[in-house]
Amino acid sequence: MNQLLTIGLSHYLCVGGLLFIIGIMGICLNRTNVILMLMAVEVILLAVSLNFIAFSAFLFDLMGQVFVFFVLTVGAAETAIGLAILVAFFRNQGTVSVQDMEKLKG
Amino acid sequence: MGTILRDLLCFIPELTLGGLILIFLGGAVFLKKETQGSVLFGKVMFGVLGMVGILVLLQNLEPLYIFNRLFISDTYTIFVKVLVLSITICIYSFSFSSLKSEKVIGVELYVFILMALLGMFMVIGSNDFLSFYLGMELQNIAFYVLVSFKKDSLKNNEAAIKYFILGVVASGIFLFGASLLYGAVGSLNFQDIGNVLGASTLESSSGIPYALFGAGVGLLFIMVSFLFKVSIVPFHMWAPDVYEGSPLPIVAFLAFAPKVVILSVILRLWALLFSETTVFVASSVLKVFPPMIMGASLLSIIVGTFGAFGQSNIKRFLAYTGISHMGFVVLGISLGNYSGMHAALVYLLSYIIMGIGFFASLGALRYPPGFSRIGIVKDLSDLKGLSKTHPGMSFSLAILMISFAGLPPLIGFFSKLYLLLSLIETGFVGIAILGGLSSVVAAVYYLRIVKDLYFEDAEVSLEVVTPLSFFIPLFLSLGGTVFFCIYAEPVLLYVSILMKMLLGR
Repeated sequence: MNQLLTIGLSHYLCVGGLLFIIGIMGICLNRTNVILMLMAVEVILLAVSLNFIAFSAFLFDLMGQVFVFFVLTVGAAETAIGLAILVAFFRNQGTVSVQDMEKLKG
Repeated sequence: MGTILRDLLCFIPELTLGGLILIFLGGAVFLKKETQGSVLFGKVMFGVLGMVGILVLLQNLEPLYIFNRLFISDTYTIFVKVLVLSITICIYSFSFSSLKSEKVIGVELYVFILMALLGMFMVIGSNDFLSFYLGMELQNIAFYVLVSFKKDSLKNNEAAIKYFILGVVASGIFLFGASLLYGAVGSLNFQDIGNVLGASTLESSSGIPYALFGAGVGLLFIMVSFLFKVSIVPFHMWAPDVYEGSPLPIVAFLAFAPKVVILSVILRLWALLFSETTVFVASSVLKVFPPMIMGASLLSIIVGTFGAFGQSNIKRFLAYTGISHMGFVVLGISLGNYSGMHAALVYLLSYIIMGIGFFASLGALRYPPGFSRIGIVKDLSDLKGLSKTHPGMSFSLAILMISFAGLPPLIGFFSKLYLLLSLIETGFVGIAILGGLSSVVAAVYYLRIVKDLYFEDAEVSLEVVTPLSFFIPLFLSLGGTVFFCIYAEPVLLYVSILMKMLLGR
């Protein structure tokens, strides 16, 4: 019973896995707004960070936490680039809707 | 102290690139677009790239681990770095003048090309998933900007958003796989992963239940993100759209350099984890990988071949043919033995040699002034009747197309021959027949282009721009394509040395 009540590695991994699935679903099922996609990407990165920290604490190894710092900074840089591309798209198109992306087909 | 100095010495090409990026960024502040200064900047780039090439060639050939085994430097990394650098120089040399006609030239362009190059160097030299991730992201971020460079075109914006979203998702998938692998193995170093998985006592040694299963799932995720990057079939949908929406010289850069880089890492990892010399493959979760990757690459050969059929846009056509060629390369890698990987690298080299020539000659073909469309040629049907006005250009295009179709004695024939032979040697006769048949089908549309060039009437008389910067890459590529049967032996020997080193025998 006691073992069920303490929060262990597997609980963290379950949360991380669920967050990852939510992020992937957010990208696959989203038909409306590109900004929501960027948010879903951030959720994926959070899931990854949680996994790394959980493993790092479990293995008594600092490498995982160092990796998380890099993931955070790179994620911020990527989002900045993504928003910049989105601004350029909005200037030409007037919306940021996924449905309006239909110029390229074949 | 001594080791730090040695590591820094081994890292000199990357450090030089980083410093030059900062100098260029500083200089970009003072330069306006389309001025004498920006043209001069573009010319300085050749010197810069050449200097980096010399620095790479001066590196030590002995295998060396740098920065606490984060990076590695050996013959293989030097070979791939020189390869990527020569691709960059060739493509930059013809993109320099054609980007001016597409009105996307700017000093920032050079900075982002150098940044992508720095990222690619880091990925090639990486010996740890941490350094691999950082290098790949640097390269990706530079490519997101390069793809979205024509920011007043809606098509280009759309292509950039698609490339960005799919690229970011691919790196998210990669990271999730890396986290699982880290948990199972306890390290992200390539050698450590190879040793731990190779010992096949993972379950008992690490104390985590299902550790081997976790490592397998982690590797699966990592492999999926790699396949995303090289556009192998279940993950290929981004390629045609992104290619169509971006300027041609940037498509040329995108079609070769990042794929070579990721494929070089796949080769290294595959030799470490799944090759025939690593005995554990037969008896673990990991044994599902080679057939899975083989199936994906076979599918991408078929989808790429048939997808290219109905295409009228040149860039979409190139994307689909690229998918099928990448399928051939990955098919060779997935065999996991010496002959398969050898054939894969030769195939990759031949694809680069032919492709650069094709891109350079397309970049030189322009719509005439007064025509309804402007800029670089866009549709395959516009190539009709080119032989009447520009016999030299259409002859070189025809040679490249015949080589793509795989007819002897050109390079495309030999590379396909080696690959199919290695498949037959390993016992996959059925797959070899399928690959051969789909390259026959592909020959139909390659030869249709030759027919269009010579036996059709022109709908539009294209212009050929003739600066030297187009013809040097084109001549190099044509020479490589035609004379491969003469210089084949040293190339094959060198590739076999590299593969033997990777496979550790």
